This record gives sequence, C-alpha cells and structure tokens, in this order.
Amino acid sequence: MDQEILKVNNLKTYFFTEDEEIPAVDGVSFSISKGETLGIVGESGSGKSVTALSIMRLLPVPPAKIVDGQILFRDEDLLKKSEDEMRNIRGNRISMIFQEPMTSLNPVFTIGRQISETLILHQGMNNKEAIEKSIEMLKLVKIPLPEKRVREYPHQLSGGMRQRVMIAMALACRPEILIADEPTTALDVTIQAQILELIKELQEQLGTAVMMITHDLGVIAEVSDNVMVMYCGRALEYSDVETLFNNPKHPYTIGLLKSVPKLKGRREKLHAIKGIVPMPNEITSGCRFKTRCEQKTLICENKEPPFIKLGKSLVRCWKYQ
Amino acid sequence: MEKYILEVNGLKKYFPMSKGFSFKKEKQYIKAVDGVDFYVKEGETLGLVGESGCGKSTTGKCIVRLHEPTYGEIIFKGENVIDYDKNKLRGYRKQMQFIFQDPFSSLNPRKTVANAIGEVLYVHNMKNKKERIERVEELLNLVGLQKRHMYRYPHEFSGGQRQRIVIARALSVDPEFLICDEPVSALDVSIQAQIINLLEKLQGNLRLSYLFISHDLRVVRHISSRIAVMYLGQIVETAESNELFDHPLHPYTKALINAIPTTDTVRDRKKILLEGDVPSPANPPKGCRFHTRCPHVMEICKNEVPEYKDIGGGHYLACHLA
Repeated sequence: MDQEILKVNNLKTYFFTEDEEIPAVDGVSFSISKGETLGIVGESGSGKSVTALSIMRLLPVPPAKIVDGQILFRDEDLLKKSEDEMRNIRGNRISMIFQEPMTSLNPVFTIGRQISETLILHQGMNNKEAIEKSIEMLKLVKIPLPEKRVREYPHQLSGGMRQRVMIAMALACRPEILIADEPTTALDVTIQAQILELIKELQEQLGTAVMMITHDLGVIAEVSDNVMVMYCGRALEYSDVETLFNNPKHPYTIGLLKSVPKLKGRREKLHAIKGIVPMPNEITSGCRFKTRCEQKTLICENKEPPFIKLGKSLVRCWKYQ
Repeated sequence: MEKYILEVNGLKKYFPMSKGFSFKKEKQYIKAVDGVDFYVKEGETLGLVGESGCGKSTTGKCIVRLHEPTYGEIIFKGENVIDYDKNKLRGYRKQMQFIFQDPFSSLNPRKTVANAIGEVLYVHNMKNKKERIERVEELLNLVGLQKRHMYRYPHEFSGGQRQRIVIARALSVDPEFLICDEPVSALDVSIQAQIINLLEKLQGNLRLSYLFISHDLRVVRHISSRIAVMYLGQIVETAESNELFDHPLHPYTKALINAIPTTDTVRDRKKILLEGDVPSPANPPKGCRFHTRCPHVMEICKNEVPEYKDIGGGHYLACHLA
C-alpha cells in the first residue's frame, strides 16, 4: 500500500541575478505515496510554488538553477532527464493546476481543443477520439451540458467552471501525481468548496497522488493527509495532518494557527506574528525564523536546527533538542 | 433610541450596458446593487460579506459617492448625502474615509510617505509645512511605523507596511467613519492578524465606526459586531455576528458558513454544497434571487420576492422559509 511515487531529497533551487543569489528553496525533502495528499503550506515567498515548478522542471534556467538534490519519480531522477523525456512526463504522468484559471487557459482555442491537445500528444488519439474523451472528462468534473461546453471558449465560462476545465485537462491522461498550486485561491468560498470536494472525489476514483500547495490553513486541514510547513525556503515542520493541527510544535506553526480568526466561541484578540517575512537571502546563519520568533535563544542565532523527530512529526527547532 | 451614524435606504446602482448594436428599445442595465438597506451604529463595525460580484464594493463606493447611486438615500449623521454639492461633499469625505484592497496600487509609487500623507493634509487646509511633518510623524506612530520611514517610497515597504501607510493616510483627516474594502485580502495570514489588531485598536482609541467589506467570513466574524450578507445586489440576512454564525437562517448564509474550510481535522461534518454559479446581475432570477441555487426552493420562491424584515432581536431576513 505504502507505495512511494515521488521522493524529493534535499532539493535546492536558487535564483541567480546579476549580483545576488537567492535560495528560494533550500534543502527540502519529502515524499508522496499513491493516493496520498501532501499539503504544502506557507506564506508568500516561502518557496512552495518554486518547489512545485522544480518538480515539473518548468523554471526558466537561468535565472533559476537546481543546484543540488534529487527528485525521484518512481525511482528515476527527474533532474537527470532530457527535455524530451520531461515532455513525455509533464501533463501525462505528472500534471499541474495553477492558481489563475483566467490566465492558464488559452483564450483563442475551444475548451475541447485544449483538453484534446494533451490526449493527442500523449495518448496518440485521433481528433475524434480525443474530443469524445474530452466530453467524458468534462462530465467527470461535473460541467453541465459537456457536449455544448466542449465547443465553447474560456471567456464563456465562469471562474469555477474554468478551474473545472483545468482539472479535466490535468486529469485527462490519468496522471500519477497532480500538483495543485493554490487551485482555489482565486475562487469564492462556495465555489472553493465545490472544487475541493471534486478533487477529493476524483482522487478516490483515480488513485492519483495530490500535492496541494496553498497559504490557506483551512484548505490544508480539509484535504491533506500529511503537511509540510514551509518558511523562507525551508521546511520547518512536517507531520500528519491531525498532529499538525491538534499538537503543532514549531513556534511558527503555532503562531500561524493562532493568527487565523476562529469560527466558534468567544472572539479574542488575534495573535499576530511580529515583523515581516524576510527575503530568502536575508538570513544566512542560524534558524530562518529567528527574526520573528518569541522563544529565540542564543543557539538559534548562530546554528540552524536540524530536523528533530518527535513522535510522528519532524520539527526544525532547537526547543525540542 | 440608539444613534445611527450611517443609514442606507433603498440604495440602487444600475450600470448601463453598452453591448454593441441592439434592436431593443429598452436599455439594459447591470443591477449591481438593487435595493439595499442597512444602518451602522456609532462606534460599531458592520461587516458586509458576499461573493465576488454581489455588489458589496459598489455599495461601499456609492456611500462615499465615488459612484453616483441610481436611487436611494444615504443618511450620514442625519443629512442625506445625495443632495450634497461639491463643497459639502469634500467636507463629508473628510469624515468618511475609504481603505482599498490592494495596498500596491493605492499608493502613488513616485511619492514618499511624507508626501502621500502630507498631500491629504494640505488639501484639507493644513498649510504649514512644519505642522504637516509633525502630524505625519504622529500618524506613522499611530499605525506602528517609525519616523525613519517618512522619506521612503512605497516600493521599499512590504504589503503589510503599505496597508499601514494607507490607514495612516485615511486617518490623517480625523475621520469618524472608515469604509474598509477587503483591507487584508492581499496580505499573508500572519500579517493579516497584525492589521486586524491595528484596526481594532484604532477603533477603540479614536471612536471610529467601520463598514468592513470582505469575502472572508472568518475575518468578518472576528471584527464585526453585526454582519450583513449580500447576494446578487441585495442583502439577504443581517444579524449580530455571533447570532449569525450560531443561528443562520437564510439558506445562503448557511451554505456560505458551511463552505469555509475549518482547521478542525474532524472531517465528518455534513456538507452543504451549492449547485452552480452565481447568476448574472444583468438578468437576475425572478422572485427570490437565490432560488436557482437554493436547496430548499419552493414554488413561491420562483415568483415572489421575499420581504426583507426584522424577525426579532435585530435579526433581519429575506426568505420565504421563515
């Protein structure tokens, strides 16, 4: 059962500009098994999207460069693949949904044409088969009147519908991994609930592993099995979802959970984490969270904590040494 | 009788549609706001929630007359603002300030903080430069920034800091009322909490009243004393915020609250999933506007518009079920 599909070891993706190097992702490791959902949560600039794009090898080189690490997909290192080999994997065995359903569809092609493109390319279908399969996919993602929609253009659909089309497109080739980068951030809550439910349902039907990237802790709690909390290019805490929400360990995770307004009970003053998220290249020594941590000690200043195993979770904090 | 600082009665805003050549004689309108009533008591926060396109921002902009309302009354401290001329409007806007969603586009990139805030003071008759600088310093302190930030440009600040500058600018003219249109939506969670706390502190210290517009129900519940829920240009339910969350009556409010992802990891709660999308405000459904998506739709809902009325204890509702 516990079949690891994707294993990322010590991934380091840096951006090189004229006078700086920015460690956007700096030594991140995780794994995803079949049918599992891994949630990656973090604030803007924490490196969660760069992690996803590194796996897809979609980052522009230069300025980006994967300087170290391994991305093992079914025991094959994606970083050693040629561009042609990658093209066979992308959209076929690993696919991705992006945040903006408005901009990730091509406005001048019909929905059907865009879904069938992947099918024709990867599955060798002819036009007619591909369109039929597209209609089937649209049905799967619960778009009403799929026979009609397949001939329409993106501007004729609402935001929620477009995101459904994106999902249909991503799942058309039955990928083994689906990477969802903030798939519901641009949508309204009631539509968000529909889309999350849909992703969960399809995951059960197709057995796809999902990597869910979001800044919304609620979404994470709702869909994930395991969670990785990222901050400034590093993973600070990595554990199963129950432990993370009921017994968070890292001061950053604790602060983050406390800063979300509650839905029940008495309203108390919100706990705010002081200060601002630093740039990834600002902190060169010690713990990444030291500038905002309320429990900082001398050791945090100079030495970065390793991942410490505590029960089922991994925590990067000296407090638990 | 409690004092209402702001009262909005029957507010409507229709935008004419110009959709190319048409044989129709009738002009078509997008009914962005279509008959909205609410009031804000002195010193309280009224939360206005709804999904995108429901008309909540348009309502806010109508109140400061950035949009001219098509119909309705806006009564601020006993006077109808609709009748104000240009001069009176300036005085009114001094008391009624607006904070926009995006702190990246609401500051002029070519003006330093001192200039951005100082300009407001200058326009509102503080001509002495030294006094202005002192006032700017005082305002920056108030919102948790320092004197050294005064001569910097917007790009040198983070999102949260910019939102603080925007708040300082709004406060510079000593307003009594702030309309906050999604003030924290563009910010990270940890920064969101900072700004919310700041807004609460300022309200306590300066006796401000807020109209807090947002799509984020968590934030609205936290900050508001009362909440109004909007759907397709109309308010469907208003209640005291704990009451609204504990006993929502309108099916839309229920679905909206139910749709918020919780941080509870217990996943057995019953889901109410709404079907379909919000209809277009150009051609809203007949009868109750929500009937196309309502799980409890009845025959009457399709034809008759439910009346928006007080059902006791300041809980207002527009639904045939009650």
